Amino acid sequence: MDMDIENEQAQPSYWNSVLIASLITAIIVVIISLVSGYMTLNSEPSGGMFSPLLFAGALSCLVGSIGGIIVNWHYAKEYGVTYKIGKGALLGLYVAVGATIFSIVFTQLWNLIDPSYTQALMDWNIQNTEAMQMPDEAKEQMIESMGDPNSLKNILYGAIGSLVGLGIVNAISGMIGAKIFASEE
Amino acid sequence: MNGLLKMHNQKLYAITLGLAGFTVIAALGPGLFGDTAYTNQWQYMIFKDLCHQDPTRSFNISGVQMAVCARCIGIYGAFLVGWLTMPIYGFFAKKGSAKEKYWLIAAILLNLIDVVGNYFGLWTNTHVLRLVLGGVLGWCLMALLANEFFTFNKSEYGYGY
Repeated sequence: MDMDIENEQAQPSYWNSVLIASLITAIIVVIISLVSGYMTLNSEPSGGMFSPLLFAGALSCLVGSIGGIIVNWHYAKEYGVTYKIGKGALLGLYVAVGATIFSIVFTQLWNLIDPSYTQALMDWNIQNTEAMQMPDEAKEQMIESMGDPNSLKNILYGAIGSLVGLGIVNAISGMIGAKIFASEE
Repeated sequence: MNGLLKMHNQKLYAITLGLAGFTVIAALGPGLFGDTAYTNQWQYMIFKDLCHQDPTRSFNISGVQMAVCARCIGIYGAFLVGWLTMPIYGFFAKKGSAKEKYWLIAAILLNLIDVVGNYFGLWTNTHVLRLVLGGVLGWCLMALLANEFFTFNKSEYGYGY
């Protein structure tokens, strides 16, 4: 037990690896979100619950979980260390927090570059909702529930959703990353 | 039989089980609770960065689209089932075997081939095929981690290969 603690203390800081993995994950998530957003704007509102082009195709599935793999790969290879999968899960969780913060920052920066983007997407969603096959009352309720995407409440709501999703899958992918890249086996 | 199967990292196992269970419940979407689908339901928000949530590639529950596509529900579902049955897998798996890494690579390639083949019109995949291929990937993820949580000392008890 004492030996484990000593080994743990002797290991180099992982924050550099967490920062790199967070940035890469956030950039990938934001790029996919923007590409699919512009693809959506270039399509006609069909009345579907989600646009078929909402995200950039099947390859986008689970790319947000790549942070847990990257952080463990970078940390283990850069410093030549081995550690348990629990630490890998923790690193994945840190990456999820970092990636969520960076993706909010990048999205807000993009709003400065293209101020009309969010409003255009909002208008598209409203038109899409109006084209849906459902009672008018339900449509109004849906449109009201969308709210202003730039409001602090909606930004926080989206951030919490991202944090929970990215947190869970990156903790698991962090264990996988630690098993592959940092295992003593 | 007592002591044949050794469990390690109990807390991490329990936490991961809880998270995997929550993930599957969330992934099944608002229809599971009899709710209607609103685009900002919490289930959809959780997976918005993780899945394309394409309605043409997703199952429905009570007429409401799941929060993830068929392939993703396969991954999460098989991972949860695998996690629950991990002691059984640990009983049969060889300790220190590297074959699980190759299984995982094969499962990723299998899914990629299916996606690419469908994209280029070489074949048309179905919800069920995507669910099964996702399930294979989810199971392989569990298998890779199994001996971190459960090991079975076969040689000590005369069960050696």
